[in-house]
This record gives sequence, structure tokens and C-alpha cells, in this order.
Amino acid sequence: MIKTIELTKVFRTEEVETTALNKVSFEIREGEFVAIMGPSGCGKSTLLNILGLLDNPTGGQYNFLDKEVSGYSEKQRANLRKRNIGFVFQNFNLIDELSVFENVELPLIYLGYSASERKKRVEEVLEQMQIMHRKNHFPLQLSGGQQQRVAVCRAVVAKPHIILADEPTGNLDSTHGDEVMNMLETLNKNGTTIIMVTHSQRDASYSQRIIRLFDGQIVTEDKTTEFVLTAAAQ
Amino acid sequence: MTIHYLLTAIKHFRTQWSFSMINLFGLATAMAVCLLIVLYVYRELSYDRFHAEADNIYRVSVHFDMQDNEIYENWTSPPMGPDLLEAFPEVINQVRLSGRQAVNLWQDGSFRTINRTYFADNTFFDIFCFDLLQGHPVKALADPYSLVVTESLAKQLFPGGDALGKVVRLDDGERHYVITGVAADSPPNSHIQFDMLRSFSTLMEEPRSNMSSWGANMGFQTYLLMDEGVDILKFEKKTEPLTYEKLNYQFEGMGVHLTLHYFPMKDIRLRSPFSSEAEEAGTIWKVWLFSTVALFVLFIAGFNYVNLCVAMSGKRAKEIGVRKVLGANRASLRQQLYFETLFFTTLSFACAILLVEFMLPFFNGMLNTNLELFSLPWWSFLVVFLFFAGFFGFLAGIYPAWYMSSFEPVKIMKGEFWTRPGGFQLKSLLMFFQFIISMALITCTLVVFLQVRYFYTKDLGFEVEGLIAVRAEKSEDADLFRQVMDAYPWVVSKSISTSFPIGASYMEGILPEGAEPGFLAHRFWTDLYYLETLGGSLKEGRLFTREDGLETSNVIVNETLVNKAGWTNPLGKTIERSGITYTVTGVVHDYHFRSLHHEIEPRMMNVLGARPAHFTHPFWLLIRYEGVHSADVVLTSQEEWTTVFPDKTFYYTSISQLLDQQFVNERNFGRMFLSFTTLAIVIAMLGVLGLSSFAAQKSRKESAIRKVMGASVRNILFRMSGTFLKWVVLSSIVALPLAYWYMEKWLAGFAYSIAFPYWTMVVSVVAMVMVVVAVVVSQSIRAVHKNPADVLKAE
Repeated sequence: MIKTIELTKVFRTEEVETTALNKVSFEIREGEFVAIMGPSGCGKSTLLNILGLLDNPTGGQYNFLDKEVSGYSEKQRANLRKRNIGFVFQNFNLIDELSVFENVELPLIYLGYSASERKKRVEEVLEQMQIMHRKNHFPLQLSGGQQQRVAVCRAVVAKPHIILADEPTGNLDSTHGDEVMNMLETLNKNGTTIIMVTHSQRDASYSQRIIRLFDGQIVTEDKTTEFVLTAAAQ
Repeated sequence: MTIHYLLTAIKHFRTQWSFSMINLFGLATAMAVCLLIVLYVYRELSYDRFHAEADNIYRVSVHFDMQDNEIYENWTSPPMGPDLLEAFPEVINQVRLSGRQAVNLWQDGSFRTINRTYFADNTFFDIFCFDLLQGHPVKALADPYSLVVTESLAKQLFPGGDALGKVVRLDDGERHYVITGVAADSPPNSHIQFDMLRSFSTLMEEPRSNMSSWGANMGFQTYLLMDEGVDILKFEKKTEPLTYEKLNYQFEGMGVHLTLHYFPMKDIRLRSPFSSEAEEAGTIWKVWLFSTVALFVLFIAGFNYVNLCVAMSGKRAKEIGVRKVLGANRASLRQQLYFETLFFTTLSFACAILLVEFMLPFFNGMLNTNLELFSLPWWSFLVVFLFFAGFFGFLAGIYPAWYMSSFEPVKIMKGEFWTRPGGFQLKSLLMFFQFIISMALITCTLVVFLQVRYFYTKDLGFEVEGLIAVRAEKSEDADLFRQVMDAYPWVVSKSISTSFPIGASYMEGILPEGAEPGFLAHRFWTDLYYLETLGGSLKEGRLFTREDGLETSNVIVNETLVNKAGWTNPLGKTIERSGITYTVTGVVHDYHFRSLHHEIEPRMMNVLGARPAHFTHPFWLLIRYEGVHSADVVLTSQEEWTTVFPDKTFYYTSISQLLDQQFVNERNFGRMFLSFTTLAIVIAMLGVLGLSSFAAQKSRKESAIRKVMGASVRNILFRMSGTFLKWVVLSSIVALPLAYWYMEKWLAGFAYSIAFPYWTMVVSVVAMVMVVVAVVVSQSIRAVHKNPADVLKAE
């Protein structure tokens, strides 16, 4: 489903050149739950941005759904993104001026769904995530956990192939964090591919595989069970 | 999608209430100002276009060329029109109008004064498209003593009855006229405004003066309906032989030459060079000036919108980023942002309509107009709407839409939004233009205001206050009334003359000694007390005395005549006119006997007894009074007049009131200009208010760090004001020369004007600096006073 070959991202300013990703190659199959881990500044978010088609690499190849997309224009990326990828952010990134319903509805608007179809899909997903009773509230009227639940609703409402989650529990307490992780796990069990950037070993334990980055390079690719065992042994 | 855009726009309007209101107020006010100006300009441009043959109607004007002197006027003599019609096939028809007169209409033993009356040929309704509601278009003004009244007048005269066929008495009740037609009131956009038209044939029935000579009685306006496609300049040339045959042959060898010109009727309102139009004319400079202001106001409001949108874009960065992440591409975001701008401009337009309805009465009062918002045809209203809400909205929305849709979601998520430099450069540039416009407008407003004030405060060379003029048809009547008024102690002096003190007077060609071939001079006849009563002053020589006798050939001239004749010692010099030689015995200081739009022209006074036998002009008794209220003077004079002349109308003019009326247009124009520019500056300052408030919010962290490092509140405020003041100073480099250039051109259009006051430039810069500092400090002071620890913790 996703394959990168020597993926490279270099940030250049007038004086400084920073290599955020250095020839990163890996593959993610459909239905996998993969965690990306590593210290701050190792290139996790840069990698997630490229995988999420928010940014283009400066080198290497990126194969998304069997298409080479590294040279895609912004328009092509937006088109591909809205049909296939859902995003969950650490700081939720809900639009404060829009209600819960309207926030969740947003991806469907850009996909051209009719108003009745949108209503049906949004209510379905809000019901499923047990946040229906808050549909007319605004994000600032919700708790952090509820906001993230809304963000997950928004990520899944268009039934994407992949969900990219950037520190999804970073702003939540452990109870709400577990709640969100259980939601992601359920989605994965239902067939959605999930790629998650995290610092949390606890969150990473929900995944099937961990890609560990250091200074823009993959240092290990572990099965979660191996990682958990190693961590326990240490 | 459209509903989603609309809802989002409304939500943004609500959540960013203060910025939205600044923008809405700015845009709505600017649009209202522009709409008012559009109404005014539309009305001005539509003048006389309602006539079906507007493009083919020309008014005859005469150009007297006397070598170093020339006169260009729109007055013609009675036979010119018919002669041109007869001689040239290009002329399809002609109509003559007398000068506008006020007449008394007698009804049931009392009279009312009808102010706007003309004598007109019976071709009037054939050539012009004034609606004749009752009566025959050609026959209505055919017979002598026939009369057409307007619908309004007919209703006043015969409420509930039919005016047609009724007989009314006019003038002093001596003449009976039959109402043969009722016309619709003249449209406001017509340079001919009438309440009543009398048949021109009436004048032929009882000619008061020569009606058959080309060179005499030039008191009529002649309009020609020309054939389609006639080259009017070629036609001018073609009429020269006729002019020679009828008139110019008399001037052969005298250096005097008369040419007929044909002035397009549709240009009379805006471009008439003639000073004696019945209605205000030559207003093209006002159209330009107001249009410029409208454009500037719109620019300022547009710049504000763009600036505030860009300033506020930081608050929307997250939204834009999220939308992009969720699949919105640049095109769809631009579409959304355009939609928001169009929503805003449409809302502003709706508010502007309400504002215009509210402001129109003041505007009409100031400009002496009767404009109505919905008087515009529906299609022009649609054009105006599309321009303001659509085109202007599109222009104002281009940059914010382009700017905001280019946000990169990755950077926004990383919090790197503020590193974008583009928006800030543009903001500075737009602010720079706003300051240029504002400072130029302040300078221009001050200059316009000073010029207008100069107009109505300038010493005219005589005592304006305490002077009334009473009209008498005969000199004996004037003399008798003078004796009656002797009984009143508040009457300081009185004088009878043939000239009303203000306005154009009788002109004749004269030949001053050593100044061949001569020139035209205003000439009038007076008794011994004219200068004393007027309050003018003698420069040299002497005034008339009893010893001069009733028919003396001595004359008194003004300074301009002396200068024009090139005399260094004018006393004793001679002036020839019609075979009589006059001797100059006195020179009076120049005084303005016409409005300040006109330069003072040569003027000569003769004694009353020496006036020509054929002289038919009315006489004026000037009365100077002291120590009594003007209303009492008028009342007493009227009572006395009615006692002495029970059948004759009392007609008087207060000189100060008349001058006030002459200046009222200028004064109102000055006020209007001041109001518009004040609004423009307020709108510009709203922009500064929004930007400085935004800058204060944005630099909270910076200010807090500076405070921690030891900066005082004053230091920080000074620094923040400095960012804006830098642009004020830079803008002044462009604004001031621009204002100087424009105002010098404007002032050059006046016969009498102030010298460009350079101090206005300093005032405009100082005023702008003060306003900007006040606005910036008011917005920044709260943010600057915050505890730096709190700010840094929050950041």
C-alpha cells in the first residue's frame, strides 16, 4: 500500500541545510497498524507529512496505492489525500468556529457529497463514536478527550484507506488516551491501515510494527511483541 | 458548498466581531460616499440628455473679438435664429428664449411672483422634449399673449380646476394672457427650468426695443436644431458671410469682429464657459473633484479590507491548514475566500444603501440638489451593485484569497506561520498608499476650504451690509420714491442709477484716447450720490457735481479701465462712443460688481440725464441704511411703495443676501468636500486602528521580553508608533507634491484665488502624525501594560 525507497527530505535556508530524512526505505501493507517512534527532531513528523501527502520529498520514491506520487503537484496530492487519508493530530486541529457536526462534515464537503448523504454519514460516525449528543457543541465546549474523539470521527467519516495519527494521545490523560487508542485499534481491526507517530511506548504497544527513526534514518523495524518483550527485559 | 461558504462567512463575521465591524463600517461608509457621488455625477452627466435630439441641438453664442479684448457670451439678438434657419438648410428648426425673468401674476386682487418665466418661440415643444400635458405643442405658444404654465403652477393657481383657457394678468396687471398649455414640471436635469412660458410673438406685438437688428438687444438665447451629422465647425465657417452681411460690415476698420459659435446643448451644464447661465453651469471640475474623492475613498476602504484580512489571516491559519489537510485545494479555498469577500461587500452595499437614504437629505441640502437613490434606472443600479459588491469585492478579495490559500499546512502545524514575510510587505505598501491619499486629501481640503472662505470674506471694494436696491420701471417713479424715503432718519444715503450693483450690466464698445481700436466697457448712468451710497471710494479726480449739469459729457471710470487704456494720468483723457467725446473727471477704486468667478472689467459712469433716449432698462434706487434691522427696512419700504404706487409691484433686493446666495453654492461645496475627506480619513484611520491592534497582539511576546530586559512602556509605545510613523513620513514625500500640483491647477481656474498656502502641507503631516500616534497608542497601551510574566507564560 505504501512503499518508500530512499526517501529524502532536505530543508534549505540561505545559510543552513538540514537533512530531516535520509534515504528512508520501508513498506506498509494494507491493514497494518504501524507506529513511528524516535526522539524529538528525528524526522517523525516530516515522514508523516510526506506519507500524508502534505509535503513532497526532495529525493527518493514514494509509492502510494501503487502510484509514484513524489512528484505530484499540490492539487494532485490534495485530490489523492481527501479520498484516501484521514488525519488525527495531537492538538486535535478542530475548527473552533464550526460545530462538532460541521467539523466532522468537512471532508465530505470537499468530496462533493450531497447534504443528505453528509448528514447520514456524519450522524452514523458520531453515533458509532458515542459523541452524537455533542453534535451541536463547539470544540471549545468539549473536553480534550471528546475533542480527540471528534477528530477521529472526522478522520474516518470519509472511510479512508489509511489513518495517520500524529501523537494522538499527546494532549490527553491516560484514561482518554486509552479510549482513543482503543478506537484506533477497532478501526484497524475493521481493515483501516493506521500509521501513528508517538513517543509513548504504551501507545506503540497497540501497533503491530514499530519503525524507529534517529537523525532521519531508520534504525530498527521491530515487531511490537519483540519490542514489548525487550522493553520488559530491560 | 455555497451554503457551507455562506455559513462559514457568517460564523467568521460573528467570531471576529470587532474586525468585522471595522471592515463593515469602513466599506459601507466608503460605498455610501461613492453612491452619493455616483448619484451626483450621474445627474450631472444626464443633463439635457432626455431630449430626443439632444445630440443635434446647439445654442448660438457670440464671440466679439476686439484685438486685445474679447467677449464670449451666450446672448444673441432676436433675428439671428430665424435668419440662420432661412439661410442654411442644415438648420432644421430654431427656438428663441428670452432671459429668465420674475413676473407678477395677478389673481383675485393680489399677486404672486413667478420666478422662472421665459418668452419662447412656438417651436419650443417641437425641439425640446418637455412634456406638454395639455394644449397643442405648436399652437400653444403661437399667438401673442398666450401662456404655458407648469403642472405645479397650474395646481397652485387653480386648485382642483382646469387651467387651460383661463385668463391671467401679468406684469403690473396691465396685460392679459390666456393659458394655452400645461406642461409637466421641467426635469431636474435640464438647464432650462421654467414655471411659465410666454409666447415670443408677444414681444413682437409690443416691441420695447429693436427686435430686427443683429447688433442690438442681445438678450436672447437661440437654440438651433441641426440636421443629423452636420460638422458644426464647418457650419461655423459657413455662417461667416451671413454674419458679415448682417453685422460685421459695420465694424470694418474698427478691429472689431463678431463670430457666431454653436455650443452643444448637452455640454451646457458641465462645460459652459458662459457666466450668465440661468442655472449653475460649468460644473465639470466639481464632477472630477468628487469623482477623484470617491475613487480615493474606495481605494482606502479596499486597502483597509485587504490589510485587515491579511492581518487577521494568522487567526485563520489553523482553519486553512485543517481544510487543506482534509482535502481542500488552493482553488476551492480561494473560492471560499472570494465568497467571503463578496458576502462582505454585498452586506456593506446593503448597509451603504441605508446610509445613503440617511445621508441624502444632508447631501441634497448642501449641494442644492434633489437627488433620489432610486432615481437611477434599474440597469444602472445593477451596474453600481455589480461594481461595488462584485468587481470591487473581487479586487479586494484577490490578495487575501491568494495569500491565505497559499498557506502550507505543514508549516502551520509546525507553528511557522508568522515567518511569512509577504503579507507584511503588502500591508506596509497599502498603508503607504493610504497615508498618501489621506495627507493629500487633508491638504486639498484645507486649500479648498481657504479658497471658499476667501470667496465670501474677500473685500469686494464696497460696503455690502446695509444696502438694498428697489426697482422702478421709470426714472420718475424712482425719483418720487427717493423723496418719500427721505422722511426716514435711518436712511443714510440714496442713489438712482441704471445699474443693479451686482451682476452683469450693459456693455458698449468704447474708444479711449490712445487705446485704439478700443474695447468693451460696462456702462451705466447714475445721479451724484452713487459712490457714496455704494460705499466705494474715489481714487483720483472728483465725482459728479451739480455744476456738471444734467447732460454733461464728463465720465467717471474704474481703475481697470484706466489700466486697460494704458493711461498713467487718466484725468482729462477722453473716451469716444457713438460720436460723442467724454472726458474723464474721476477714477474710482475697483470694486467687484460681479461674482469673484469673474475678473473686474472696465466700467464707466455717466450722469443719469445723459442716458440715450432709447434706454429701456429699469432703474434702481439704492438705499443705504443704518441703525435699523434689514427686515424693518424692507417692510417700511414695501409699505411706502404700496402707498405711493398701489398698482405697481414692489421689487427689491438686499445686496448682502444676494451675495450670500451667490456664495452659498461655493460654501456648501466646501462643506461637502470637507465631509467627504473627513470620512475618507476616518476610514483610513480605521485601517490603522485595525492594524495597530493586530500589531499589538502580535508583538505581545516581544514587548514582554523587552520589558523584562528593561524597556519602559514609553520606549515600547514609541517603537510601535515608529513603525507606522515611518510610513507617514515616507508618504508625505509623495502626497504633498501631488496635492500641491493638483491644487495649483484647481486654483488657476478662479479669477481670484488665494496663493497656495504652504503651511497646509505642514498641518496635514502634523495632523496625520497626531492621529496615527493616538490610534496606535490607544490600541497598544493595554497590551503593553500587561504583566510580562503572564504574557510569556501564555506564549
